[in-house]
Amino acid sequence: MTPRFEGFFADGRRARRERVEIRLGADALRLEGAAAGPLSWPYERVIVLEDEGWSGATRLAFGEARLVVEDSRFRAALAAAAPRFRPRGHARNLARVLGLAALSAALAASLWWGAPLAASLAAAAFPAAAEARLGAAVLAEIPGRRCENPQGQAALDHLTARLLAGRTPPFAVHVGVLDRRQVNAFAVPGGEIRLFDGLLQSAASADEVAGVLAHELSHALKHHPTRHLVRALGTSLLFDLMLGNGGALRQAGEVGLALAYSRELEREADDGALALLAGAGIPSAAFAGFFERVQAEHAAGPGVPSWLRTHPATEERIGHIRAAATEGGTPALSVEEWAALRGICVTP
Amino acid sequence: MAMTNIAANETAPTSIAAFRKEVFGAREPGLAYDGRLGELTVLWLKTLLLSLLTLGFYRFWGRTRIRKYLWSRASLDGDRFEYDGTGGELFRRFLVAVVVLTPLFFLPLALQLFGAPLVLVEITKALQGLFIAFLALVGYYAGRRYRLSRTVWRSIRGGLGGSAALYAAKTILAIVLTVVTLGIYMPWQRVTLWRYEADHMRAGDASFAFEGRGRDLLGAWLTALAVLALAVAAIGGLAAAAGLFDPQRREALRDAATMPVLIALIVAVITLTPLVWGLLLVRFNAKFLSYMASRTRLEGVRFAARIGTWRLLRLQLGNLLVLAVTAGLGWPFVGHRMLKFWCTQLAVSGVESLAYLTQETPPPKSGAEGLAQLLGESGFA
Repeated sequence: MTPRFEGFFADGRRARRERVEIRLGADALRLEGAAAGPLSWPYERVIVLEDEGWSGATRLAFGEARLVVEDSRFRAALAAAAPRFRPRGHARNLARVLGLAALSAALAASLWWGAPLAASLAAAAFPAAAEARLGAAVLAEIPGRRCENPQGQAALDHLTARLLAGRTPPFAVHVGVLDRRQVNAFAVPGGEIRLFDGLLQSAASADEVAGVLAHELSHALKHHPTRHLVRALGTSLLFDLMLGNGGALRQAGEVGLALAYSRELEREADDGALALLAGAGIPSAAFAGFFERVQAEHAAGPGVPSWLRTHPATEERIGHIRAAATEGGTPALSVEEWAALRGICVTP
Repeated sequence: MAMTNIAANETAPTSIAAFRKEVFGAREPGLAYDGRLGELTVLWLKTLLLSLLTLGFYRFWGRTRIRKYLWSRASLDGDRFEYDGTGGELFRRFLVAVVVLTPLFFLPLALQLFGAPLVLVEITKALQGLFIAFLALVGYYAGRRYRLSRTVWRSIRGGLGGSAALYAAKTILAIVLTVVTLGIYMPWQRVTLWRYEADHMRAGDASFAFEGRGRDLLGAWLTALAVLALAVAAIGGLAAAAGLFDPQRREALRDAATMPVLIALIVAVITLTPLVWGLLLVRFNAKFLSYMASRTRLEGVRFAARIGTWRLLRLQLGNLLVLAVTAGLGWPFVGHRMLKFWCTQLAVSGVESLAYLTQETPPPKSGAEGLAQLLGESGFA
């Protein structure tokens, strides 16, 4: 004796609910009492509407027609009559979720590794003129008066030329000093490099400045600023897309990726700096000393010196530079040149 | 036909439901909503967790599930609504939107990098802003169309005709007119835009219609504008009295006792004006919504609503609070509140004539709202 239930039927042509009697046949639902006559709904074309967390009436769809059964026993009877209506096992649901999670993890991993590669490729494809324009745009964002003292600039240019001796940079390199008290230095896309006056004043010797300059020159020569910018633009857009409105999540992710990127590039720039210093015959011990001094100040009190924030110094980096430090060579600048450089921001 | 008057009772859902069961028996002749905060929260947390786990991929399916819940908790004349969109549809259209929009975002930058003249870059940036606003409006209308076409009641499907691009253009034009007329055009703006939407909304073969005029709402709007104008005039007058524009007067007043009084008055007006104006805006909105409901009909079915200023203010502030506290992720709760609000406020009469709604041919299912998603509209609207 097949179980019988009562339900309300709407045929998909008119907004009318009709009371029908439902029988669960072997392979179809049989509805009786509708104005259109007896109906047969083969199970494989019947869809149960999942209304999320509702235990009570069951709603079914067959094409555009709808059926509502209030009796809470109907669901179980339906599952018994046809296996396809069995509630999906927790195991299967879990499997789907884990599968989706694994897929996302794979995507995240490929992004993590692939994005730097993509960024370097994109940056390499940048024509020099475009890179210079990008650099000019970035430079325009940084406040600070350019220091113009001719003797100071001449000393700086001399040092730059010495460091670059024997190398042909892909663009014109210009090093300048900005009148800011922070201890910072940076390179923008293209060949523009800026040192802050604060760096010059707090440096113990010209060799220290030479070390920092060599580091920034390395960044510039290897197109790191462009890569970094392309990467930052690229990932922020990617995160935006993936997370939609999850603004906070995106920012966290962005920072995470950007930082990791910098560490890798920092290492490259360190090696490049050591090579430049060696090529110019300037001792690199001072560079290591600068690091350690700045690191100690950073640990001693609040107010992170700006250079460290954008050039994170790990024990490993310092150790690496210290190990490769050389003592021998000629000083970076003569005594007069060093004095001139320190006074570059003093208007004559 | 007697108008079904649903008392705007502010008690918990269970007692409204009980009251209704008493009066109407098992079948509720109007709109009802029995969504539960607890159930919704559990569902929300589940979908949130899954979205996090999948770095955001799951959110299309999560959104669909939440809509299915909300829709199914609303009912009309005893029959529940149904949402039959799928997460896959949302995801696919999202991808299309990404492909279309990404080049657009990068266009000014690319132009700048490849040496285009600055003028061209600036023009492109300005146009880009306008174009994105246009696309956002298109996305909004397309989103409504999608959701309506996935809404089913008693096997009859909803729909929205008209052109999203035209709607977007109309909206932009209306906003320009409002600005140009110093705000006076606002009632006409709201009415015109709602009329376009309502006239194109369908339930099966039947069409909705809106018979309202902007003129009818001018009173409430002018009150708000007048207060603003008065406030500006008051500030100006007080400032002039305090010698803001006249150094000699300022000197003369320097030691007088009136100066601090004037300053205090100016500060008072400046602080009070946004509050008062905000309230008057809400009042206008409440009147507009009530008007909108009362002048919209669907064949023989009529709607009515009498929305009070304070009721609307509580709704809107509450929604803002929810979104602020959940950093925007709590849109399902806003949806829940909105549904509850409308199902209690909106009276429906002539429900019997709904039995004559037909659907001769199954209506087309339109594409999903990829643009709206990408441009930041979260869920319920």
